Amino acid sequence: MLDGVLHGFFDLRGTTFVCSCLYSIMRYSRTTYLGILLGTVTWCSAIVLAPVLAAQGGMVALPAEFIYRLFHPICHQLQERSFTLLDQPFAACVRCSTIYFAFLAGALLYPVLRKIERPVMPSRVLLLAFALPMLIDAFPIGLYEVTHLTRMITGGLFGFGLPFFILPAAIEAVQQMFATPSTVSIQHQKGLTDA
Amino acid sequence: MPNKPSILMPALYGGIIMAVISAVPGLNLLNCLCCAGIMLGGFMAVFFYKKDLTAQTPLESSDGLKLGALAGVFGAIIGSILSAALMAVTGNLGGQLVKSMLESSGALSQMPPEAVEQMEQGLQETSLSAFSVVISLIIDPLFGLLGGLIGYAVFKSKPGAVIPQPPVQPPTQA
Repeated sequence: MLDGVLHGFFDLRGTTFVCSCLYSIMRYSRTTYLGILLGTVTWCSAIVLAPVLAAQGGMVALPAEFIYRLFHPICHQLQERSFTLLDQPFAACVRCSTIYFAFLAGALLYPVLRKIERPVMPSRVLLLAFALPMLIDAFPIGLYEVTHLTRMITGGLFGFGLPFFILPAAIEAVQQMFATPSTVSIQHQKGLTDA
Repeated sequence: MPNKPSILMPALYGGIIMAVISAVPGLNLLNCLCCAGIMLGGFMAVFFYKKDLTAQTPLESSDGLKLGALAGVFGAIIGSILSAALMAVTGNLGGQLVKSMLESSGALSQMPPEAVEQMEQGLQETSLSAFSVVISLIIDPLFGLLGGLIGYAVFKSKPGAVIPQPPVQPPTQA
């Protein structure tokens, strides 16, 4: 009987430990995901907020000036290559804006297509497939005319695919750094869905 | 678990790549493609680190994250120094380059006068402001980190890869 009780106790302790590990992993995975999602929402909001604030003029336009200067080192911000709102250009050009908004869309869809707690990395060939059209469009070789539509399609494809590489890698990295001994490791997969 | 090599030198190499791309006029236009130059620095830091790893010390995602962020910090500092030096020597060469590109494509004549005026004002700036250094210290580690994670996605060992074991030396008999 004592054997049974002791076995039960140790079994329970083992279960508690596993539960604690799983809880820790789930907590860190979701926090990481939500942190990245929140950061992306803030980033995309800033792109749209800049023209809205700039259109108001006066003191309200000062934060807009800050946002435009924040995006300046990472985007040419040419007016003829940017979306406009209230006659003011977005903080980033068409291609960059589409990449960021598509990244947000991909990040929002990520929990639908993947389990947050089980980071799965798609095949690296897919990364090339997402990036190549944008590179061809950004450095044209005269095959076709580069327009806003081509910038949006190619940038959108790249931006949408990126979270499926960034999110699992970031979730696993945070688990490795902060969680209790990780029992989860990234798995490679050919497609984008778990199925 | 064997000790892993230091991330300092690979991150420094990545940071130098990032700084050169960000500071050299013309080359810095690469950053207009969603920070491609900055992300390349983080990516290359993982590449250099991967070369130092052995089969017993596989590349982990936390390595990619740390390498990318650290390369971003190095890139921001070295890039700011390099930009300031280049600006002091050559003036705002990057701005002049963009202006001449716009002129040759005919886009400058289509731009609104206030935008042209703003550009002219920007061209007169020949020193680096503290604000742009602060911006670099925010942007470079952020996008370097993304580059590091992409580097991890690319350079991570394939699952099921056979890890070669070190040869076992037979015990020598005295």
